[in-house]
Amino acid sequence: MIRKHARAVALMAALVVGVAPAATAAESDGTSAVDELVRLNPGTTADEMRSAIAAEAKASGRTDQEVADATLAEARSESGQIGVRQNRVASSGGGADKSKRLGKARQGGDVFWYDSATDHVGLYTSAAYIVEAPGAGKVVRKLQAKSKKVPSKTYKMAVKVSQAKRNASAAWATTKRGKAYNLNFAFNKKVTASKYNCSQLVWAAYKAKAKVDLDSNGGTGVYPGNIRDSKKVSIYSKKQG
Amino acid sequence: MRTWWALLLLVPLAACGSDGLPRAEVSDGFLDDKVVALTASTAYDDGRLRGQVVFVDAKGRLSSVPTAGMDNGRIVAARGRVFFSDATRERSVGATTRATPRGRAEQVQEALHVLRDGRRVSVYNVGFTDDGGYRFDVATTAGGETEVSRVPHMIYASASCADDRVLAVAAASPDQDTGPYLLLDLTARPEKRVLGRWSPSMRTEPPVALACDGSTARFTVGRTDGSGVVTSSAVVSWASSGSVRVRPVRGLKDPEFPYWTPVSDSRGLTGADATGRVWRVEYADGVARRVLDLNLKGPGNASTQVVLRHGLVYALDVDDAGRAELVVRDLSTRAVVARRSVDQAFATLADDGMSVTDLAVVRPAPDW
Repeated sequence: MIRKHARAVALMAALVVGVAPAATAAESDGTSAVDELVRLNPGTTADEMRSAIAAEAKASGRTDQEVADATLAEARSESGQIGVRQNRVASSGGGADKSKRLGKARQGGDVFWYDSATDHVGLYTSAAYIVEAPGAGKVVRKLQAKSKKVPSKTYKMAVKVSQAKRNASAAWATTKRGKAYNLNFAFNKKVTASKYNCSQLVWAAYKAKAKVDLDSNGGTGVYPGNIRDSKKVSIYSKKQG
Repeated sequence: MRTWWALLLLVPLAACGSDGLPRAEVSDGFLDDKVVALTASTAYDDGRLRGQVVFVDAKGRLSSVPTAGMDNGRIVAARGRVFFSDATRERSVGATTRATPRGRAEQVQEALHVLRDGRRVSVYNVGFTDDGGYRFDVATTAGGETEVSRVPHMIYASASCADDRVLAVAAASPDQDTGPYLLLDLTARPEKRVLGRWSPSMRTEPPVALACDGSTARFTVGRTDGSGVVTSSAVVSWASSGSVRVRPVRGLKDPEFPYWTPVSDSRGLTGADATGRVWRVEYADGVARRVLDLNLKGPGNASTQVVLRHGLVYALDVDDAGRAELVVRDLSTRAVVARRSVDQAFATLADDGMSVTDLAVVRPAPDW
C-alpha cells in the first residue's frame, strides 16, 4: 500500500514542508516513501521501516500512509535545514574536520551540538564529562569532555529546567552506557529502548527525568538540530572551548 | 573453546613511569599496606586504549601498574589478590603479577566476579551484531586457563552469589527493552544457562545493577507510563529456581535506582543512585527510606565511584576542578570513618585522558 502511493506521499510531503516537488527524490527516481526513509537512515531496512510505520500508526490512530507522509516530510526537512544531507546518515560524530577538543560546560546536564560531516549531539554529565551515543557500531559511552574531538563550530547549551532535573537527566543517560547505536532517526522517540542514537539519548534523558520534550518540531523523529533549535534550551557558547 | 596457559610475570623493581605515578614494586607483602585499588582507562574509540591500576596505601601513597586499558574496567579485591582485566588479558596482583591471555580482544567490560572457589568471571559487551542482537562475552578463568563463551542477549547486570553462581538479568528479545526478561546463570554451560523468564505485568525500565543473596537476584525496575516516563519503581526478587516476587516501592518521593552495585541481605536491598543518594528498600513490603546523601561534589564525573561493603560506603569523589577524595562513611551512623586525598592520582590519570572506572577495597576501613 505504501509503495502504491509513493508518488502521492512524495507530493504531499513536499507540500507540507514547502519543498519544490522537482526536488524530491521519491518523485524523481520513483522510489517509495519507505525506500527514501531507508535511504535517509542508512543501515535500516525496509521491513524495519514498515514495522515502525505500522506501530506508530496503531499508536497514534493514523493510517500508515499518514505516518509515512509526516515522517518523510520531517526527514526531508532535516536534510535541508540541519545538515542531514542526502546519502549520508544523520549519525553521530563522523567527519574529518574535528581538530579541537570539547571544553567544559557550565554544569552537568548541558548539551553540546556540532555539525561536522554529520550532526552530533551529546550530554554533559558534569562540567567536565560527557555521555554520548557516538555512532554506528559503537555503544553509549562516558568520557572526559577534553577527550572528545570536535569542529570549531560547536554549540553548548543549557536546558531550561532546574539543576536538579539536569542532574537527574544526565544520571539517567549514564545508565544507558553500553547500549548499541540506533540507526533509525525517523522513529527514534522512545524513552526506553534497546538502542539509542545521539539525539534520542539526549531527548530521552530529559523526557524521562524532567518531563521535557526537546524535539523542536514534533514528529516521530528527533534529530540533533531539533534539540539545538528547541525553545527549551539556551545556547551560551558557539565555539568549542 | 580456546585454552591458554597462564603466564606468570614477576614485575621487577620500582620505577617512576613516564605517566608520573611510581611504578608498583610487586613482591611478597605488596598488598599488606594497601587500602584501595583503582582501575582507570581511556574510553574505547578514543585512540588506542591505555590504562592504569593505581594502589593507594594507608598513608595515601600511590603506586601503579600499567595496563592495556579497558573501557568501564572492573576491579575486585578477593582471596588476597586484586583482580582486573585489560584489552587482551585477565590479570591479578598479589605477591606476584599474573596475566592470562583471553584469546579474544575486548574493549568494554560490564562485570568482573571472583568466586569463592577461585574462578573469575568477566563479562564483556560486544555490542549489537549484524546477526540481530546484543552479544556479550563471558570469560571464565580457572586453573590458569580462560574459556570465552558468547551470550546472545543484552545483559543488564550481574552479581555473584553465595553458591558460586553468577546470576544475570538479560533481555529476552533483541529489540524489546521493557521485558520480558531472562534470569541467566553465567557459570552454567550455554544449554543450561537460562534459569527463568519473567514477563512484567507493567511497563518497565530494565535494571541497571543487581545484588544476589543466597541464590536470589535482587534488583529494582522502573515502572513507566505510556510515554516511557518513569513514575515509580518496584523491587524484584528472582530466585534461581525461577520464582519471581515483585513489590512496588513505597516511601520515596522520586524513583531512585541503584547505579552502583547494591548490597542485599535477607530483608532488604541497599543501593546508591547516580547522584549519591543511598537508600534501602525492604523486600517484605516495599517500604523504602533514604539512608544518607553522600553530597558528592562530582556525581556526574565518570571517575566518581561508590562502593557499598560491610556496612560502609566508600566514595571516590572527583570534582570538576580535578580534586579527588576518598571518603568512607558508616551507613548506620552516617559518620565519616576515613578520608584520603588522591588528587595526585586523579590529576595524572586525567591528564592522560583516563577516567577511574572502578574501585576495590583491599583493606576495609576504618582499619587504615
